[in-house]
Amino acid sequence: MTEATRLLRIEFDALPERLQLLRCLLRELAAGAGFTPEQRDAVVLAVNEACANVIQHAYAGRDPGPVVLEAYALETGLAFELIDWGRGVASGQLQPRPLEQLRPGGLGMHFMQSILDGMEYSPSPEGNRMRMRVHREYGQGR
Amino acid sequence: MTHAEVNLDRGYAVVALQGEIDLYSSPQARELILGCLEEGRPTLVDLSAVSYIDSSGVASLVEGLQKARAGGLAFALIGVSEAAMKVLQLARLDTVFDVYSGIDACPAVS
Repeated sequence: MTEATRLLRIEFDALPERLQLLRCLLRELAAGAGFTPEQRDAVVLAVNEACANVIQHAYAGRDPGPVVLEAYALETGLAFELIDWGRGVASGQLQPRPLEQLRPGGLGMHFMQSILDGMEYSPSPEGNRMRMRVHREYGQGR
Repeated sequence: MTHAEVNLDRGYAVVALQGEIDLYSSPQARELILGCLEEGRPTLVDLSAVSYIDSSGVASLVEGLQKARAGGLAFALIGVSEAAMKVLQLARLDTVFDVYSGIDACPAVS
């Protein structure tokens, strides 16, 4: 990601009330990066879900800690890096559940996998990192 | 900011959600939806003024549907906005819920 231009770096507390402002930033970012309104909504949903996961799970049972979201311009779209210093999860816990099961939870990971072109998670005591990529051709025949 | 309110209309409890339904606002939506069902009311959720809904908001709707089914109560979505419908389609839930254009299109409460 070093060769990509960084468009945004924001640090926020892991609180649900921070999500609305983040989505405003993401909408502007995606529009500025040439995503159509439909693609933009999808990008906002996917990155919101990643942030919501951190807010819900990484700092569960303790004070809300810091979260950093960085966005990078790619030739083909956008890349994001989400960093937290809370409880990391095993990669197996990041699998979407089968949608045939009608139950309330677990849809966020499905949204992320459906929308994003790439998603890599690496837990570490120096910061758990979720890297995400989304290309502008999202929604055009996929 | 108010994200939800309940009105009684034609035998239904109508929970009208507004604006952006996310991890912050969905607990209020959930509480209202489940509260109506716990009172034994057939319940409609009006999504016409919803500009954004995430997985936590959708989860509140699924929880309502499950509770309604368990209690033998009617439960449907009305006036689903385009933004909300796209998310329901992505979750492949658009055909799981009963969806009506508005309360006028809903079956009369028996």
